[in-house]
This record gives sequence, C-alpha cells and structure tokens, in this order.
Amino acid sequence: MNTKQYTMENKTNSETLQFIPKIRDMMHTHNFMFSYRGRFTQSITKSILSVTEKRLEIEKTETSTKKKVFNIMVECLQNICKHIEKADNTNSNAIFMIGKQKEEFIIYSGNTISNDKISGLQNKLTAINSMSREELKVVFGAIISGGDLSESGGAGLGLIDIAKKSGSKLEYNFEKIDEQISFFSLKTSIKQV
Amino acid sequence: MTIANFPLSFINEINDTMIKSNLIMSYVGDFSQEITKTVLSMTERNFDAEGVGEGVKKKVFNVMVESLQNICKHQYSGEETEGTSSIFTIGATDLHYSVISGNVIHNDKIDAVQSRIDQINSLDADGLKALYKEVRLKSTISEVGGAGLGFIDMARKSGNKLEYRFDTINNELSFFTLLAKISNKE
Repeated sequence: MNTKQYTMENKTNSETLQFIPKIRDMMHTHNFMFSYRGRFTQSITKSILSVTEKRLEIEKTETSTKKKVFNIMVECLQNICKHIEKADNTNSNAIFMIGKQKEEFIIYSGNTISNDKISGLQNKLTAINSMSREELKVVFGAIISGGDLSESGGAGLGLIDIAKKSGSKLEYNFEKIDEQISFFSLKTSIKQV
Repeated sequence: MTIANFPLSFINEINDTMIKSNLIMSYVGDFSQEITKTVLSMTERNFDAEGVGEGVKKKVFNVMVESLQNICKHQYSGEETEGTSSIFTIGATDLHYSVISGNVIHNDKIDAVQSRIDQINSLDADGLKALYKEVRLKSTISEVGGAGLGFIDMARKSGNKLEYRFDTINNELSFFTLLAKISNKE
C-alpha cells in the first residue's frame, strides 16, 4: 500500500490514524469481523453478543450454529471477566475477537494472567485436549454433580464446556509480559452445521 | 502443548496495535443500520462503565452517528470483494475520544473529499455554521451526503479539526481514514 498522509495542524492523533489501515488489513486478512478490547462488564458482554447476533443474522447463519457460537462466546467472555480481575487490576488488557473463515466461526480471546497460574491452566488445557467428546461430557457431569464448583469456578469447567460445545481442540498460547503476568490467548473453532 | 500452524501471535499483534493506537473497539465488515445501532449501544455501555459525563457522551455520540452514516453512504459497493470492507473504531486517551472510520473510495472522489475537509479545517465555529447553511441550501436530497454535510457536522460537533489520510490500494481505489477527536472535558 502506498501511503499519502496529509498532516494536519493538530498532530496528536496522527499515530492512531496511521494504525487504522493496518488494523483493518490485519482483521480483514484473518477474516475478523469484530474486536473489542478494554473493560469487560456484564453489560458490555451483552452488547458484544448482540453485535454478533446481528452479524450472524445478516449472514443467515443456521440456528444451531448460532446457538453454539453464542454459548461459546459467553464462556469465553466469562473466562476473560474471571481471570482479568485477578491478574490485572486495571481490568483493561483483554481482547475479544470473532471471525469467520469458510465454514467455521473462530472465537479468539486474550487476557493477562498471573504467571503462577500458567502451569495449572496449561495442565487443564492439555488434559481437555486429550479427551474425546464423550469423556468431556463425563468429566463435565462429574464436576457439576460433585458440587465442587467453588474451587472449579476457575478450574476449567468453562474450558471443558467450550471444548465440549465446539467439538474442536482448544488452541492456546502464553506470552510472557513480565515477571508477574503473561498474556493468555485462546482460539476456538466452531464448524458450521 | 501448542498446536502447529497456530496464528495466535496475531492476537497479540492486534492487541498491541490497539493499545498503541489507544483503541477500545473496532468493527470490520459491512455496515447496516442494525449493526450501527448495536455498535452505538455498546459504546454507550462502555461509557457508562467508565463513568463518562453526559455532555461528553452526547458529543461523542453525535459524531459517531455522523461517522457511521458516512461509512454506510460511502462504503464501497462495486464488484471488487477483496479488501474492500470498512472499519469503525473508537479510541480513548486521558484527554480525548477519537471516532475513526475507514472505508474504500474511488480515486476520482479523493480530490473533492480532500478539498472539502481542508476547507472545513480552515474555518472557525462561525465559518462552519455559515458553510453548513450554505451547503444545506444548495444540496438536493438525491446527492446523498456527497456535498459533505456530514463532515461539516462532525467538525462542528467534535469541536476539533478533522484528521484524515488516503492509502492507495490500486489505480481505481484508495482507503480513506477519517478521525474526529472529542475532548473528554465537559
């Protein structure tokens, strides 16, 4: 892309301006339709769901796929709300993105996490990815009926649910920010029915 | 366990870019009336969560509506499907909010858009008011926004100069980014 930039008297935002085509290219290339970063509250979660709903309607998405996408989005958004609270008191370094590639929807979430939580989370993710759908159902049922929810609120019930509903392996990545925190990204794919 | 061909670093890249450019939200794709409405309501909720004052909220909203309408009106509707989607983003710093739109336009429209914005930026509040009246009287409804009423309105409501850039895509098309800044002081 050739660039023609027209400098204004007021230059404070020119850096932002220059990033916009880049962000749009990145999002477009990876087929993202929406990304939100910043504060995650209950009502913002609701708005994110409703933007996605409108978009899925425009694309005439099958009801059952829509439902799956929604359920998984809710889990991901809850995960963000849960983890961000503990790791980052500014509650701002989290991102949620949704995109569509050919016949599948892709949900990305990213948030900061305390480094001391990484190995626990990684073990859970590894365990979840090694299970079949049937096994996931059994484990999910066991945790729910075991009533061990206080401990397992962050203990992967949400992740099990995401894996169970999406029917795909969870893809993830940890990127160290400093001695205290890292950035955890999670990708879930949902095949269109 | 990390899975091969895993483009997750891309999230970090987007996140970093959004942080660098102080963006809180971005939407890419086709813009319809419905999407516009939900984007507005999401921003409203974000502002409520941040405790933004009513006066500032109203200003940002007015500018957002104009900006989204600009996208709806001007977004590319030709045959090219690759790389023609629009973007709408909101930025926030300690001092101001930014309402930013980006859409593909035909190269032969650039001169007119550019000279209209330059003209707008050269005027003070009274000058803008006069220009608004003049353009409104001259324009017909059929000239959907081509006369630049939206730009004038954005400049008036934001209280700041409009910032813009054009990035050439090919011989026919360019990407037009427009930024309006609203001070977050009441």
